[in-house]
Amino acid sequence: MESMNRVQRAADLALGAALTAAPTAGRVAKVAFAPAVITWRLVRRPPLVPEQFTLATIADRWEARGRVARELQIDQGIDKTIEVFDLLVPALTTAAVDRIGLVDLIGRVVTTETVDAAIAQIDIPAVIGQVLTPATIDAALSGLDPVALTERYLDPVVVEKLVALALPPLLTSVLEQLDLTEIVRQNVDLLALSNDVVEQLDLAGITNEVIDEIDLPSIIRESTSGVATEVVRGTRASAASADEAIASFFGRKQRD
Amino acid sequence: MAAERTVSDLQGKTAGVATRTMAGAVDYAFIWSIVGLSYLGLAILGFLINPRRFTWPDVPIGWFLLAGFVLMFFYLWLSWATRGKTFGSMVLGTRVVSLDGDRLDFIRAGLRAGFVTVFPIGLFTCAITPGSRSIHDIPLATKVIYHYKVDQLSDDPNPVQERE
Repeated sequence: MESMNRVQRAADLALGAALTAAPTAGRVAKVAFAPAVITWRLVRRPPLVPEQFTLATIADRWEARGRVARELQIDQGIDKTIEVFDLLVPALTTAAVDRIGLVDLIGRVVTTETVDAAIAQIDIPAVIGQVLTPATIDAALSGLDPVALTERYLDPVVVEKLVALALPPLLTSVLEQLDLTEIVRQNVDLLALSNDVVEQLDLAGITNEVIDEIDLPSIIRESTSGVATEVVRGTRASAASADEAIASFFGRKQRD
Repeated sequence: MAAERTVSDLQGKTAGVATRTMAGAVDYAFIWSIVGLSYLGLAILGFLINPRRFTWPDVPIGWFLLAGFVLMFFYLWLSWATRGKTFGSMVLGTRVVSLDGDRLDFIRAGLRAGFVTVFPIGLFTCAITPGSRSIHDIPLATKVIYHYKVDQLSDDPNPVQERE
């Protein structure tokens, strides 16, 4: 407390002195600037002194040497520091995490409510709108080569499987929506189609084949022979009865 | 049924006058149909040759009769010499055989055919003769029997063997 006050007082004093001296110093500096610069140049590179012995050359040489030494030092120091950090950071982090109780902390802070609240604060459409502007989409799409992408990612086997899976239900639903009969009736010239079919068919040949298969003569023979047989039987029986009647009329029996 | 049983019982017995007359009528109808159709064919041929000056062929009635008798003779001859059945016989179920039941030979069949063609009325004599034999049958030693067993109008594979 005591020392703090003393430092404070010293700093205040220095600041006060500086503020008091500053205007004067500024004026002095303005007046003395040009002669000082000229003097300094003369001191650094005095006339008639060989270049290698001038103050500037010597100063440069020392500076370069010091810089090399410093950089070396820094490199070594950085290496050292990294080693120390490598050692320290895990230990410190572990210690810190242990101290904090990170899991508990996250569990306490990241609750459903807080996440919901956080999400609720985000205007997602606006964010998407900001990111996905027509310009960005155009840019992204112009960078795409659909053919190359397709070739790269669409394995024919996979495509085949996908089609086999997706096509049947798709087609079924599409067909359910369509009145195919009506579509055909409106768009297809059925008369011309049937004419083509008829032209292609050898109707005469087919008819002949069918007739050959049917064996018409045998059918006619069978169907008529039944009737004919009945008529013939009746006629024969009548004739035989008549024979018998005539024979009995003439008073004799038929002989064999 | 009774009629059918009668018919099958009669198989092989000599046929009566009614049956034979009906068979003869069928044969006459058949032959004269052929003659008529021949005349029609002649007319059609004439029409095809010269349609513009077509007239019905002027055939004397005697020619028709002659054609009919000639046709009848050869028809009967061939029919009796081969199967013993004319068309009329097939319909009525009769057959011409020799007295011992064999098929007629060519000479006897030809003689009988000529006799029947020239003197068809002789058929009716079978009504009064013993054994239902007509005037044609007696000199040639033939008879006409019921032959129903081959009950088809067409095929008669073994007519000679099929009798009782």
